[in-house]
Amino acid sequence: MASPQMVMYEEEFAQVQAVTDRLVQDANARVVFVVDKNGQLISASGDTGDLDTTSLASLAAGNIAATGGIAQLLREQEFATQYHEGVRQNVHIQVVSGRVILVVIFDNRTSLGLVRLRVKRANEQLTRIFEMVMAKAQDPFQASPFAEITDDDIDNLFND
Amino acid sequence: MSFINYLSREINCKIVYYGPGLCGKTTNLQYIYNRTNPDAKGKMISLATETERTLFFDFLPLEIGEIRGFKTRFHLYTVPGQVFYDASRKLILKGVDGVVFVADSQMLRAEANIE
Repeated sequence: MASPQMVMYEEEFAQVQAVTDRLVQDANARVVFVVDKNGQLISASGDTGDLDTTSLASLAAGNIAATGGIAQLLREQEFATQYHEGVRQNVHIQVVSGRVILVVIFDNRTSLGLVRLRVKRANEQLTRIFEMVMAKAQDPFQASPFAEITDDDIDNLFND
Repeated sequence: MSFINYLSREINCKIVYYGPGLCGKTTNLQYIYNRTNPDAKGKMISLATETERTLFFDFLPLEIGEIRGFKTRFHLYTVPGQVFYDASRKLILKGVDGVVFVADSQMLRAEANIE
């Protein structure tokens, strides 16, 4: 069965943003971002100024998809945590709740141990938030965000 | 599936270009990239082999316009066409909202289109 569409309302978005803002501070990270497993950027915190976050989100999701494929071949469930070590910067990637990806970019102002410790707590908090998001998405009484969009609206979008 | 953010008023959709090897999926994306207003597009990424065959995917983010106050963002992906890249093709198709099938018009490639 296809996974339900993810709709992020203001309340949940603010909660996710609060978790990632805090993770940047607590882990002394450069950037933290949360990405949908399909490659859509959900939120970003920290020094994102010169980063192409859209491309990073897509590539991080591709990375998780590829290692997920390796896991399947090895009859593992999933490689939920990944770490890439660079000369000046490092990337820690954590799958949250099987649905989203938490990416932390950090340099030598902090340590992998501290990042791992803080990611663990953020993972628990994000898991609770995304369980709520997915429960809302599966609620049959929740109005579809596409309900008000007509065929004419779509035609107008592509006629510009 | 599409991702909707009410706070930033954005709808994000994933479109995948699919078809046999060397049919022109990457060329389609490059054409769109070259013809699109620079303000409406992001960087195009190609994960390709040394001979420029798509190894994992090509990626192009586009902003199309607004619909009922929501910005619409399309993420265009291509898959590697060769049959032996079956595993990575399936991974890229996950969560797709629309598929563009690019067929090769050469008679000799009719079988490849079906495959």
